[in-house]
Amino acid sequence: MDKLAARLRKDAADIHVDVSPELDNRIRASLTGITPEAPSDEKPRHSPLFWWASSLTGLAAAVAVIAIVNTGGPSSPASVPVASTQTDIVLPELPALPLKAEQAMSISPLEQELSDIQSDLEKAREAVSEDVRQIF
Amino acid sequence: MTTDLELIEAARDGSVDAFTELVHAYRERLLRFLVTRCASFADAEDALQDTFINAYRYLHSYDPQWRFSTWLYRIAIRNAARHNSGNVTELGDIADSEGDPLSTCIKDSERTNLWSAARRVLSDEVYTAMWLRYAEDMSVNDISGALDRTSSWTKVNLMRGRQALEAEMNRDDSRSKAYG
Repeated sequence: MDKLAARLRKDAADIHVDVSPELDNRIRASLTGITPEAPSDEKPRHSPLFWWASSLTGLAAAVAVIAIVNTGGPSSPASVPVASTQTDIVLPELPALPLKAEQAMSISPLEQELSDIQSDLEKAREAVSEDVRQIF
Repeated sequence: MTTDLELIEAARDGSVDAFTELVHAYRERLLRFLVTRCASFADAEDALQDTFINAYRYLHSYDPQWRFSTWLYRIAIRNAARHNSGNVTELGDIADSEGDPLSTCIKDSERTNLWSAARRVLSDEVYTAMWLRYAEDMSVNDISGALDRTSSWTKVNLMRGRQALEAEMNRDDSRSKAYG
């Protein structure tokens, strides 16, 4: 034991205290008036019936989930709800405008254009066929 | 001979006599400590009474992995702090007053009692750690449990306390030599 430890021990022993009989009686009297508190953190005890009921409930829930998953089949894409970003815009009703328009007579030029395109296409096809024939 | 644990078990079942035996075993040790921590002897006595009352009331929460003395000290430290919180004077000041319970309990001696010096130079917690280590021979683990601190904290502060008290001891020794 080192010098400091020995000195501290001796000095602690040099502190003299006496517990008076009055204090002793006070403590004793206080203790008799007190009931030790029961432990509050004790886990509640359940009967075996509780555990059986819990187990059966869990088992039934598992069976129900399995049955639903296996009998339901794949859900069709149509049944899947799709989130829509379209919003309905409500416009105020406008009065009908009197339109005076004549039908455009554009049938002949368009037919001419179509026949030109078809002949060009035919020429291109023949050119490609000729190239392929030459290569192979 | 009945051990502490047997007495504790009996006290848990409501035996006041069993707990009174525990009171008799620890009252003087605890009062000696409380006298060094409280502002008056009456406060120390009150703190001792409260310590045993609390211990008896909450005996179910005692964990036998700790020493019973460690658990009791933990309660006593809290009660000492509670009794001191109402006093205006600091612990360091009462050493000079005539009502200092520690000075009245120390035997007349030519040299200074180191615990008086310890109370002057150490903080409350370090003082308590030093007391538990050197007056009660508690292990570092028990001290950590009593103070609710880590063992690293306890080791470091015991070392600091030692250094401070060694300086005080050397100063006291040189003063004694100087006065012959």
